[in-house]
Amino acid sequence: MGGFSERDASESELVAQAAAGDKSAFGRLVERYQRFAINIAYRMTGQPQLAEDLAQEAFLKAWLNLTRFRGESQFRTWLGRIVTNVTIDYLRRRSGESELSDGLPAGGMSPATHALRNELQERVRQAVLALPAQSRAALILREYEGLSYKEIAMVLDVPVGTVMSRLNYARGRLRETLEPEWSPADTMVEA
Amino acid sequence: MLQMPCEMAHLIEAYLDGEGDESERQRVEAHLAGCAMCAGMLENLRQLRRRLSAWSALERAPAQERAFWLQLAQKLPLRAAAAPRSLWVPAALALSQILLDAMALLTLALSVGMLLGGFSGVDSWLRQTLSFMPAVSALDAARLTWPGSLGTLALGLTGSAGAEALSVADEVLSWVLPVFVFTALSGAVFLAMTGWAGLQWLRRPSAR
Repeated sequence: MGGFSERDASESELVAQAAAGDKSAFGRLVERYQRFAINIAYRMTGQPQLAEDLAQEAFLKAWLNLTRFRGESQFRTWLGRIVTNVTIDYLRRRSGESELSDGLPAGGMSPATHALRNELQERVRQAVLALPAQSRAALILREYEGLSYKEIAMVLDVPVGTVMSRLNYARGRLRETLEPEWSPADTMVEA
Repeated sequence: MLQMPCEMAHLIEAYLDGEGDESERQRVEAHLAGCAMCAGMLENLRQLRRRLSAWSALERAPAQERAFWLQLAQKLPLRAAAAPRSLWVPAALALSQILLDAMALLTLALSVGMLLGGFSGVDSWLRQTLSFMPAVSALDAARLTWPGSLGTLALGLTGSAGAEALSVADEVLSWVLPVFVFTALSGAVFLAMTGWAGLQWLRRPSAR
């Protein structure tokens, strides 16, 4: 098994080869990070097929802009930024429509998947999708993708303090929605 | 009745998220041991985290992952390394700028020279200097032969006034046209270079 530095070294090589026009090197990066990219888009929109399309768009943008990637951040963080921007742009374009309708199970979900979804999962999904896009993005990157505050700040292009207040807001809202018996105002500091 | 939030409350979320250095974490842990409110908040946040984990990630079969790449690969435009291109564009722009400046200075110098020193000196110098250009030498040859034929005709038709007009036309032709040819050629080179540089600029990878 390769250690962290070995993985990083091979990754920067792959990025350099892809930047020079090597599609197979880019293919290996896609193989490594497609799950990451698709799941960000999925949790931002709630729709599996739409998430695939948005991830495709994000990877295409990454390919077109790879020559500008200078390695000041990790490739994963850089890609996360593109996916998040593509998804938020999409949601903004569709803001005329009800945002909650993005997350309803009818949209692009197979009946089998829908049947398997238990009640709690559905409640969580709808609660997360009801959050404002910026707080939702911070929460998804932290809770589901495990990014640090600093990485989230780079992805969302905001200061670390803003990441913390967005997370605090998102968690406060989620606790109100998911635990109605508990009132967050009792103990939480307002963001 | 609402309780006042504990002054350490803002550190609890960062603690839950594994942020902060070791000394800060120890400080929070020491505080948690004695503050029921913050301990309760941490437990609530942990419970929220457990609930959030109920929304599982998209599970995709290996075949789906391969299909994702195959679909993407078709859309990727061919792209060569862009690093050398980014050096050539400013170089071409700078070179064309220098060329344009030199051209303007030369044209100015020639015009001033003709006005001050008369046509004939500059005329012979120009013809000598530019004789490598086929257009100029052809023009020169035509100019040397036409007074013989056209000049006689003009003299016969209009008398001395016609001959004078012809001689002025001849003088003008001897320097205006070479300068024009030189300017046009330099201009064409300048346009080609800036056009090429502009094209490279337009074809650069687009920003977000």
